[in-house]
Amino acid sequence: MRTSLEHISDEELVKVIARDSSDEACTELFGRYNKKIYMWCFSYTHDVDEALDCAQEILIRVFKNAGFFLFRSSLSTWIYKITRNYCLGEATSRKRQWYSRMLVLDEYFDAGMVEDDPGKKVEISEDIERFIEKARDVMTDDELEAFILHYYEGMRVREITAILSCDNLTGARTLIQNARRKFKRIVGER
Amino acid sequence: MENRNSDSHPDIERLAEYGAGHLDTVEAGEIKQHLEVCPLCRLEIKKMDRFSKIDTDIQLEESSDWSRAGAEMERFFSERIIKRPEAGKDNKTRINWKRWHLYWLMPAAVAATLVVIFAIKGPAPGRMESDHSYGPLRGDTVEKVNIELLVPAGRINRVPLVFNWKSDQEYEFYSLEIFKADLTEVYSCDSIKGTTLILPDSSASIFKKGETYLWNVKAYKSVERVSSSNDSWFKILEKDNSKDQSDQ
Repeated sequence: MRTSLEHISDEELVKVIARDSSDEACTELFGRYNKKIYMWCFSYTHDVDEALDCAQEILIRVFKNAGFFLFRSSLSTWIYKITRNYCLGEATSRKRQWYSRMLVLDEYFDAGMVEDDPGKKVEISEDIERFIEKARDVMTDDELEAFILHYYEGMRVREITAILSCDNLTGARTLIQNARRKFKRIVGER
Repeated sequence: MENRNSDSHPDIERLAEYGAGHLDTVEAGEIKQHLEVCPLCRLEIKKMDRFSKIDTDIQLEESSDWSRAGAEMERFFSERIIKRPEAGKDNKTRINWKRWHLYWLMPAAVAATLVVIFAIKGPAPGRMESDHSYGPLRGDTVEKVNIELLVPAGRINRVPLVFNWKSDQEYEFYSLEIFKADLTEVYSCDSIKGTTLILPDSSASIFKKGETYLWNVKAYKSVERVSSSNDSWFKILEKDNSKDQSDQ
């Protein structure tokens, strides 16, 4: 989808959309970000149809709220933030299959995921901070980051390899395995 | 899964500026110090970097079936966001002059009805306050909008701990999301039975006075989302006016 606006900056593009919301400007914005959004969603859902559902919902939010964009950050950061928040929220609410990996965390977080307790998220958020505090002493920075991405955010090894700029899949896998071993030691010490 | 406690971590915007080298020395120093001890923020910077390049990952493009998904995304964009006319269709309106009166009478009747409703009810709290710049509200929600958000709405004096809505029928369960105007999620809750959510007192600290919040509700049957509300907003006033009135 090429438009005559392809040479203007993201920020100028949002101004055009806020001013007259022309189809051309919206098409340009869509062209710049739809693939990023979809592929980010896929890295969380690992399923084409679910990633499409998420990406489409995010697109609606982006276009509905483009007028609220306050230019406090780049457009890319703003869209990243919407995408990130949505994907993390969806990951929690849909309890995907890979989410069962997080059971290992339940050994540490006493209460686990009790869906009908509205305060639970706050507690979990506090728990992850507590866990990090403790894990920092035994895990390397890379191991801790790989552990969070894999078990807390549900990302696959390949995506973790890309985010952490590991040389290959084996590198990321080793980080996760080491982290898991150390995590068990932390749990055992409680 | 909002795993960032906003009190102890820098904003994502600031992290992005740090990553781009746009912060002054003092601010950059503060962030650098924080990053040394905070894997969540380090990851946030790495994830932003990944987001900016993710569309060039050829392997992921193949494994995520982008060729099919991209076509689906374009179709969705055309049909739901900008609502283009279908290709090849002659969209010129052919006026049947025998029924010409319907062409102006129906829109006029709709407009008149809207004027009457507006005059009776007054402006309802919409997506945002009237003094906010409106965004282009393009695109509809995916599901039917059969849920009406009741409280909180508009400018309120106290931190809201009770959220109440009305739906056209009873659904199995609901989810509720509260976020700031910049779409940062501040609270969400799934599997709510019934049309009221009472937050625990400890949740009061997630709201700040003077800030505007948006919220919405979605309804589910089993795992399928079947209905949703429009977004509503509320703003907690800096000063509790109800207290002033009772004092007088």
